[in-house]
Amino acid sequence: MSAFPSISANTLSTADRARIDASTRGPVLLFFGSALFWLVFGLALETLASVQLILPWFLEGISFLTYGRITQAATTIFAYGFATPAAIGAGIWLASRLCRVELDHHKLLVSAGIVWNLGLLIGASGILSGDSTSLPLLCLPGYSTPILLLSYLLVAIWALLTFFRRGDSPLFVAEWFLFAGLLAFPWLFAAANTLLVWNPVNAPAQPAIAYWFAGGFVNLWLAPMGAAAAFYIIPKASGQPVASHHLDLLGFWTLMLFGSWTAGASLIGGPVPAWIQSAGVAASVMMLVPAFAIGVNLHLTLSGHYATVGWSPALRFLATGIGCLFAYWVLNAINSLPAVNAVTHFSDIGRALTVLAFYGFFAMAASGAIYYIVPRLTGHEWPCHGGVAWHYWLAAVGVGLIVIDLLTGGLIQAYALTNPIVEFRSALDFIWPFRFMSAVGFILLFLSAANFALLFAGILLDTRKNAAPAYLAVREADSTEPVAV
Amino acid sequence: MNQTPNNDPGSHDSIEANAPELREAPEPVEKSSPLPFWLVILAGVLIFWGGFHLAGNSGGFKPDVYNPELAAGGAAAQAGPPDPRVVGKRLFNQNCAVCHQTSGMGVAGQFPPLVASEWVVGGDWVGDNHLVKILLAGAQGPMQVKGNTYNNAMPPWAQLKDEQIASILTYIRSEWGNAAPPITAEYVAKVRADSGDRKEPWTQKELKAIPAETQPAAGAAAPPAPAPAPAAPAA
Repeated sequence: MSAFPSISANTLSTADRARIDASTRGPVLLFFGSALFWLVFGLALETLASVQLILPWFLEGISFLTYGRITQAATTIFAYGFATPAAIGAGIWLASRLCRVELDHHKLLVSAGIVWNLGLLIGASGILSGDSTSLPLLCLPGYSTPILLLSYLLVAIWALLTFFRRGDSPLFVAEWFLFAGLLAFPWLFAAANTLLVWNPVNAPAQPAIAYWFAGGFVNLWLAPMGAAAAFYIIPKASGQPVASHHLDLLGFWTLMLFGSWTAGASLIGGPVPAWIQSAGVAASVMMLVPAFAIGVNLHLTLSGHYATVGWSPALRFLATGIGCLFAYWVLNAINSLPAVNAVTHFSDIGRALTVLAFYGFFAMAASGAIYYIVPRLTGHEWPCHGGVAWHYWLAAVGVGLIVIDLLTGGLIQAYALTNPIVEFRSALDFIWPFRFMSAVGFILLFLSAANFALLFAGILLDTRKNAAPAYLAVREADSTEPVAV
Repeated sequence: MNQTPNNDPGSHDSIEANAPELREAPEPVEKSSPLPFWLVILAGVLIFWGGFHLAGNSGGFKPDVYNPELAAGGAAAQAGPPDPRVVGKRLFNQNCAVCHQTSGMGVAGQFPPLVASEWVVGGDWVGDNHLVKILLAGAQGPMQVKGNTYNNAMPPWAQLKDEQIASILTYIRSEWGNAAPPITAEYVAKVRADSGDRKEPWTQKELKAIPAETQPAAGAAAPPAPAPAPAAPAA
């Protein structure tokens, strides 16, 4: 198990790194900045929606703030305002670093960022004014999605150019995940919009396609991009080599193989052919293989060096995010077993799993990447370590409250719904206190995001003139671990 | 360990590395540790289970099979009709328990009991038809129940469906130690048709004028009666 470096990296000199980082500064900061703006805005809407769920009279009568519209707008803004731009921003920096090329076509990417945000602004306004579709994660009205695809086309052109200009070094595991994600997203998004929004297929085929997209969005877009960030930044910041090339292979290929098939499990008992449902169940259970392969690989990488996770914001957020991704895949496998699903199907458990994947996994992992990348672009340190700690704990406690409450409440609700003695009304009464606690969790998440946005503004403007890196915990003076921030 | 860009022979650029770049570790590499043995076993078990599940539950991969159990077993595999006593209990708790109480004991002097009541399980002149008629149109005025006189009004429940009324009656006739046979939805429909469009609640005097009638034994068309309730302890 001692070091057998199977792939020797062409080490980048510090000067090369400095040139690469400087060349990516504009587009990456544009994507990150807009992502954080939308994250705060989306979480504000999400908080309002969660309050309306427990107090139905709240904001009653204001058409563009009714529950149906803001909950769709909040999900859409998270997915296309925060998650996708954050993934693209991190992807630009990671691709430049991993391919060891400076970023040219600077204007291409800046235009892509501007067009993307314009398209999302039109789409989100469309949803709030009542133009939404009824499909989960595809709520954007048909007139706004071509703008987003056009913007992504510019990113894709740049990604391909970068990929072909890379040096002749073998592809590092982070590059596999990165380019797989960058290729999967346009395929998923264009296919689903073509078949469901622009030129809808026959109604019976629609749910299968809609859930295929929703599953693929997490498993083939967010998960590879989060894994790419983790597989570059975790070994980089902790100074440890990635534990096992074989685990990389197993995790990557099983994720690609099963990732897009899991959706059938959301349709158990629904109007789709039985083999789609069974394939979904089998794929959801087999997602345990990439879950363990990726989770164990990163754990073995950090094993014995977890002290760095204590003080480095980037490592702390990334490790928490990967932990949540592991928990999401395991819980999703259990929830897809037909015997379990027969009870839990129409409960809040599905919502708990979505929050775990979106806010537990991706928001955490993307925050970790942003904490690592931005100081390298601006040359400034994060303004205050207390703010970083507040961001972490508000986000962690918020996600924990929401997920644990909706899982327990969802179980009680599920048993109440399946018991013929219990009235429907009582099932709603049972879940009420748990939904109340999840609304509190969303308020904490909103505060954490607002805090993060302030920190981001602080590092851009260099408000504190901070010379020392922002540690989350005291780093012992005699520690032999790398600085890791 | 870290070099400043000025000492780096490859640097022809004036861009200076900033502090975070200077403290970075070298680019990451991979070790080639073998796969953990337990993970190989786990993956094998999961793939075996997945294939097994897929083979057994896919309805032959036909596009028109939505539920392999129904396709294979036909009507026999369908879930049976819900137990009327379970449905009846829920409907009773929603609609009737406010007055008659979940214990079926009513409230002394106000709402008559259902437990061992001649109106529920049958008495000298009270038949199944009287019970159904009271539920359909309600009742009012003085009534004798188990030797006590009650003078109150019961609202009509004609808005409930035949099956729902049948479930409620089946429930109250088999709960709390009552042991009368179930009432079928067909019988409720028949009594509803016999009563015409009577809306005003019945009085005891009017009901006594109607001859008692017992529900005909469940015919071939009637759904199978639920298994007789186990001897319930006296309420």
